Amino acid sequence: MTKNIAVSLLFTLATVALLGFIWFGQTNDRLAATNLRQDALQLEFGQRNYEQYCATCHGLAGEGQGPGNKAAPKLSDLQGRLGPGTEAFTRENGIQKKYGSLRNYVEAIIAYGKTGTAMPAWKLQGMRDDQIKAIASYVMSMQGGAVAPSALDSAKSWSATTEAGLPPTATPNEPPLDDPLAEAGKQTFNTYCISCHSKTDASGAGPGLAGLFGESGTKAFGTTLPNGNPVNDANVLDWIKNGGGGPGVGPDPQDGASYGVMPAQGQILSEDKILEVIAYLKTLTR
Amino acid sequence: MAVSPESKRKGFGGWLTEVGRSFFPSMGAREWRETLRGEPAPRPNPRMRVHSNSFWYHIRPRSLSEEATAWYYTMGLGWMSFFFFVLEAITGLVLMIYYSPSPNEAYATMTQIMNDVPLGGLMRNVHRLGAHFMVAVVILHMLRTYFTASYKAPRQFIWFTGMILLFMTLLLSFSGYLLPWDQLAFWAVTIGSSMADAAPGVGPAIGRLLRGGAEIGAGALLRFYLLHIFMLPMLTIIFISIHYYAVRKQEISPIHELFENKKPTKRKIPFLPDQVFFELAVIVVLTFAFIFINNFFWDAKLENHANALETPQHTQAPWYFFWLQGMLKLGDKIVWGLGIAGIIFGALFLLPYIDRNPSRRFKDRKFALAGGIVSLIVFIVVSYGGLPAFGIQKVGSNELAVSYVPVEGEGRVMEVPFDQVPQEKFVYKVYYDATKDAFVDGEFGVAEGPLPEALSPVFKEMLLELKHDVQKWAEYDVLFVRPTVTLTIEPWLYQQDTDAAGFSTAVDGILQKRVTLDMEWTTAGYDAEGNLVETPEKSRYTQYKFLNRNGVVHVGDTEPRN
Repeated sequence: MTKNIAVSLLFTLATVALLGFIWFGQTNDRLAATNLRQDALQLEFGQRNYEQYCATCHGLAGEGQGPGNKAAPKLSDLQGRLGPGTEAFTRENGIQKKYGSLRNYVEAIIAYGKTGTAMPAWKLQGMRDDQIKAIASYVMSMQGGAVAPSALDSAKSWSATTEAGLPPTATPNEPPLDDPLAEAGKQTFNTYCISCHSKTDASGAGPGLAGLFGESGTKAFGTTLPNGNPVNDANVLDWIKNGGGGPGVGPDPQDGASYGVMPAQGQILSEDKILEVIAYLKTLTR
Repeated sequence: MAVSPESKRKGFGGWLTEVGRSFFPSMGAREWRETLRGEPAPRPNPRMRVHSNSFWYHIRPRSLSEEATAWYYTMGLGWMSFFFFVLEAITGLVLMIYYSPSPNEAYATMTQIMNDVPLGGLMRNVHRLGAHFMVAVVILHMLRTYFTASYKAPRQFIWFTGMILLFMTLLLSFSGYLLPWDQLAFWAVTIGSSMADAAPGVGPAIGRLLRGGAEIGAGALLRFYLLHIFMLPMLTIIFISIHYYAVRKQEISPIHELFENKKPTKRKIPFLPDQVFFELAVIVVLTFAFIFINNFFWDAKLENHANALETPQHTQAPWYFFWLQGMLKLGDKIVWGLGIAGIIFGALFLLPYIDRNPSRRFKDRKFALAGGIVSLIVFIVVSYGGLPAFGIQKVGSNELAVSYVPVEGEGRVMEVPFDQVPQEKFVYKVYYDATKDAFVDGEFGVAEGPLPEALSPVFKEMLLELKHDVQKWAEYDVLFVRPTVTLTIEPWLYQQDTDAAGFSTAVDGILQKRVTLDMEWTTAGYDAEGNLVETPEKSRYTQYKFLNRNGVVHVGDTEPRN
């Protein structure tokens, strides 16, 4: 019994000492290591999400679609345009005052969008907070000279990777289509296009595409594309591949919606994929 | 409660004394001092009064037969199971403070627990490892009971409640699996609940009740959470109490019954103080060992956020269900997964009534002992066969990606310490050389030839292993023809955040490595007319190598700063 008491006492003291050691001596290192690990994981996760949701408009390396309010802005120079020290950051009611830091601003824009532009409010579209934070981390990692040296490489490689094994994205409520081409197109559409284009008349950042190949055309643009060309396979292929604007882009008098520039997808989707999407678009009726 | 005279003080002091007495009833300071000094008990023995005046001591016997407390006999496994249950309850309560059971928040709260809560990571590690240990200890406890025939009359009922507790332990551990809401959680429970679906008739209804819907979602998470924190612990507490009470009533089975020529000992040891301090020593040592292991040697993994669209390469059930997984591979889901498993569990429950041999002697139980050992070996073999490595067709490119640059976990490349990986961009290539009819490898650009001298041995070894694996899969997988595999390792920098005021902490970044595995190969197949068609395929997998415990490298540093 004396032995047991001695062992108990000894190990109680040892446990207290160990906890003290962990608390005072080791916690910070471990926390730092775990944080680092989590940061890197978050960056990887952010990259995957960025490529899925953001790259269609903002470009695979954050290069954007060029200047102008309607175009998706360049993201790799945010620090220079909006970061600490710039006018947008420091002015009265600027980013510093409203959001505290550039990162918070990025998170807020991802979550709640930007009125007057095509940037959707992703949070309202069901994106989770951890996805938003991860994307913001990835966007912040594009800043300054510290960009991943070959972000564009990785982006290109990504389409190669996904082509090898695109995850099945068919939603359970949608029965599979009979035409395998259209079915494959549906999965691509659900991954790349649906963030802007709905399958009904409802417009998001882009017009709803129901009835695109039908007799009366879409609700927003009728039987022509915004650049004035008639809707047919060749023109739609060109439109998706090279993107574009045109007289039809901008505030639409019919339903008051305003649309952004269609970003070029040629770098992201192969021609085969686009043809599949077109096959799928033909199944969308009004 | 019997109130001893000196406790009749009034006011707060009196109340405090009462509370103290309810934990240590009938013993004053003097009596405790005598007990701790190991002095002989006076008559009437105040240490006996404790047992009649306190619930906690009442469920334990006043004294135990000396032979039953021999360490090599029970090995304290029952007490250890109880210890793990309490450990899980305490750490679980702490985790409950921060955890939120909704799919939108569960994962975020998990990362918060691991990163931001002081000692939160430790609490989670202890809880997770404790669950595994609890299952293991309960199984060992059951094995001990079987091999020493302690389940025989008059102790059938103890065995029966013990079986219920085994069941509870498995359910408790399994229901906790879903809560972190990461990929492992999601897919392990998907497998588990689809097993329930397989049952004929009521199966789908049970599956639906468990998941709260057709798929695992918010409903399932809430249900598993409630099962895990409320329903199952409540039932377990009730059955532990019954189990303990039954053990106290029937007493621990005597050891002399196992042998022919061993005399029973009449000697007893008092619960207070001998047994109490033995049990105390056990839990104190276990607590220390557990914190030690969890802090230095083991980390509970948290995988990526659950994603119903992304099935991980090798989905597997928890280890204690490997046997079930193994049996499902043997044949029909209903026959093997439910029929045979049901028979096994039923037989275990009814064991005291199946084994009618009244003798506990090893000599008289040759058949039962041999059967036990054979069943144990079969159990281990079937469990081993249940590992994902067996009986599943493999795709060479996937296997290489999963073992070298997996989406989840470390992978073979990341196992190389950070400072052993080349600092500059390095491209390694393995390809099939038709003129030599063999695989050649080398640094890309330099092409084939010996690898640079400057490479660290650990890194080189990994590259050689890669070459070996490429050859192996090219041979093994008939659809993985003439592969060219390129492994690229390049520096990749991540600049840290701006601080709270928005000022960039600029150059103090973290140097990372980016690892890319490219594979190009040819796959063969037959087209509609039956002609052999070879199609080129390629894919790329990227992983970011990050530092974990090797220290942080800052920009401008050449050596890791520790």
